[in-house]
Amino acid sequence: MTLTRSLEQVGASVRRMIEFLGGTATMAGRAVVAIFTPPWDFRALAYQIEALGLKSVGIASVTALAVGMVMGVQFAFGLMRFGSVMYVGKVVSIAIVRELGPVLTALMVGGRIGSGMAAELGSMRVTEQLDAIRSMGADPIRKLVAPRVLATLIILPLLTILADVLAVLGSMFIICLEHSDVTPAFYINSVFETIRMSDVISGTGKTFFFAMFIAIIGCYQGFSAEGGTEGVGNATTRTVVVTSTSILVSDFFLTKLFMAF
Amino acid sequence: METFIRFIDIWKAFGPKRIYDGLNLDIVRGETITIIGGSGTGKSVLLKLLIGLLTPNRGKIFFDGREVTGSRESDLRAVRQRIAMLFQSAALFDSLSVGDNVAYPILERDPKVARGELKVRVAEKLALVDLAGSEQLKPAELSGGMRKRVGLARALAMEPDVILYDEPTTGLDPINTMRVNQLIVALNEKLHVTSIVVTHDMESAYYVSDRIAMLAHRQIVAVGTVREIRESTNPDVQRFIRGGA
Ligand SMILES: Nc1ncnc2c1ncn2[C@@H]1O[C@H](COP(=O)(O)OP(=O)(O)OP(=O)(O)O)[C@@H](O)[C@H]1O
Ligand SMILES: [Mg+2]
Repeated sequence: MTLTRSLEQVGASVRRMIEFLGGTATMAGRAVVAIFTPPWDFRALAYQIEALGLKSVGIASVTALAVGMVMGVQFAFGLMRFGSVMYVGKVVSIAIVRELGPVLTALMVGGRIGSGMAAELGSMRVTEQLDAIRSMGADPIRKLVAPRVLATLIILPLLTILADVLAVLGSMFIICLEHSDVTPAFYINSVFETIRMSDVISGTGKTFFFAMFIAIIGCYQGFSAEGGTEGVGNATTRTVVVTSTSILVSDFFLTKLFMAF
Repeated sequence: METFIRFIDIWKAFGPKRIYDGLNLDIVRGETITIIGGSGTGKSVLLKLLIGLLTPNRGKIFFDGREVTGSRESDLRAVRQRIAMLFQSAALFDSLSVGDNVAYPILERDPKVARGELKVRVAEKLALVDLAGSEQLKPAELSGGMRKRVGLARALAMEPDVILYDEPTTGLDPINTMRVNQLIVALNEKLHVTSIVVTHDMESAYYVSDRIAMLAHRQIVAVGTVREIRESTNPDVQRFIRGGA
C-alpha cells in the first residue's frame, strides 16, 4: 500500500520533470525560430530591454561592488601571509571575470527578471489574455516570449561586463586604501597582464546560456500558471528556485565546456 | 441551408471531470444560435473548442468544411482570423490602453494599416458599444460592464464571419443590454455574421436568436427555433426557461 503510493509519487515527479524539460525545450525552440524569422517587433524588444536591462543596472552594480570589495579584503588578508599582496589584483580579477561576475549577475538579475516574467505572463494566463491572443490568430510565443528571450540575451552579457569592471574597481579601491605600497596604476596593470581574452570569453559566454535559462524558465512558468492568483504566486516562486539551481548546476558544466576550447 | 459549423460526437473531460459525452451540434451559415444551460455545464468550453483553444478528447469539429480538431496551432490562424470571440471575462490586455486593445486584431491582420485609418476604425467600434472617446483609458480604470463592452468592440474590430459571444450582456445596465442585443441582430442582418451566443438572460436569447440549443447532461438535449424551445415539452428546457425568464 505505502510502497505503491510512494512508487506513484516517484512516477508523478518523474512525469512532471519530463513534462518540464519537454515544455521548456519546445518553448525555447519556438522562441528561437520566432527571433530569427520576420515579422520582428522592435518596439516590444526595445521595451523589454528597457524594462529588464536598464532597471537591473542598479542591482547588478551594487552586487558587483560589494563582492569586489569583499574579495579585496579577503584576498589581501589571505595573501599577506605569503607576503604577496601585490598578487591580489591577479587573483581577484581572474575569479571575477571567469566566475563571480557572470554567476552572481545571473543569479541576482535572473531572480529579478525571471520572477517578473513569471508573474506578468502568469497573470495574463489566468485572466485568459493568452487565450485572447491566440483567439485572434496571433502566437503568444512570438508576441511575448521572443522579445523577452532576445532582450535577456542582449542585456545579461552587457550587465556582466559592467559587473566585472565594477567588481575589479571595488577590489582595487579597498587594496589601494589599505596597502599604500599598491598603487591604482600598478593594480590595473596587474589586472591587464593577467586577464586573457579567453577568460572574458569563458566568463561572458556562459551568460548567454544563463540568459536563455532565465527567460525560458520565467516565461514557461508563467504560461503554465494555473488556478488564479495563487497559481501565479507559485509560478513566481518556482521560477526563482529553478533558475538559480539551473544557473549553479549548469555553471560547472559550462566552465568545463569553455575550458575545452 | 448550409451547415457551417459542425460538432460531431464531442467528448471532453478535465481529469476525472466529464464535460461532454458525445455532444453533437450543427450550426447554419448566417444564423444566430444561443446556447443555454446551467452554470458549469460547459458553454464557455464549447466556444473555446471551436477556435482550438481547447481540444476535445474525442470527436471532430468542422468549420466551413475544414477540420479544426487535429489542426496544428499554426494552421488554426486562418480559422481564428475569421472567428471573433468575446470572452466571458472580457480578457482585455491590461498593459494596453482601451484603444490599443481594439486596434490589436486590426494590426494583427494588417500590420501596415495607415495610422489614420486605424484610429477611425477603433473609434467607430468603440462608438458601437457606447464608449466613444475612451481610447486613452486603461482596462484597470473600467467597470465590469465597460470592460465587457471594450471586449465586444475588440471582437468586432476583427470584422469576422463568425462571432462567439460569451455572456455579452452580463453586468450591463438595461439600456446597454438592449444596445448589445440590437447590435447582435444588426450585425447578423447587415453583415450576415453567424453568431453563437452564450447567455443566461432569456429575454436576450429570445430577442437575438434564430435558434436556441440547450446544454444539459453533457449533451445538447434540445435545439430548435425560439418558438419550438418555448413550447418544448423537454423537462430540462422547461425548468431552465421558467427559472431563467
Ligand atoms: N481549463 C480548464 N481546466 C479545468 N477545468 C475546466 C477548464 N475550463 C473549464 N473547466 C471546467 O469545465 C466546466 C465547464 O466550464 P465552462 O466555463 O464551460 O462553464 P459554463 O457553462 O460556461 O458556466 P458559466 O455559465 O458559469 O460560465 C466547469 O466545471 C469548469 O470547472
Ligand atoms: Mg461560461
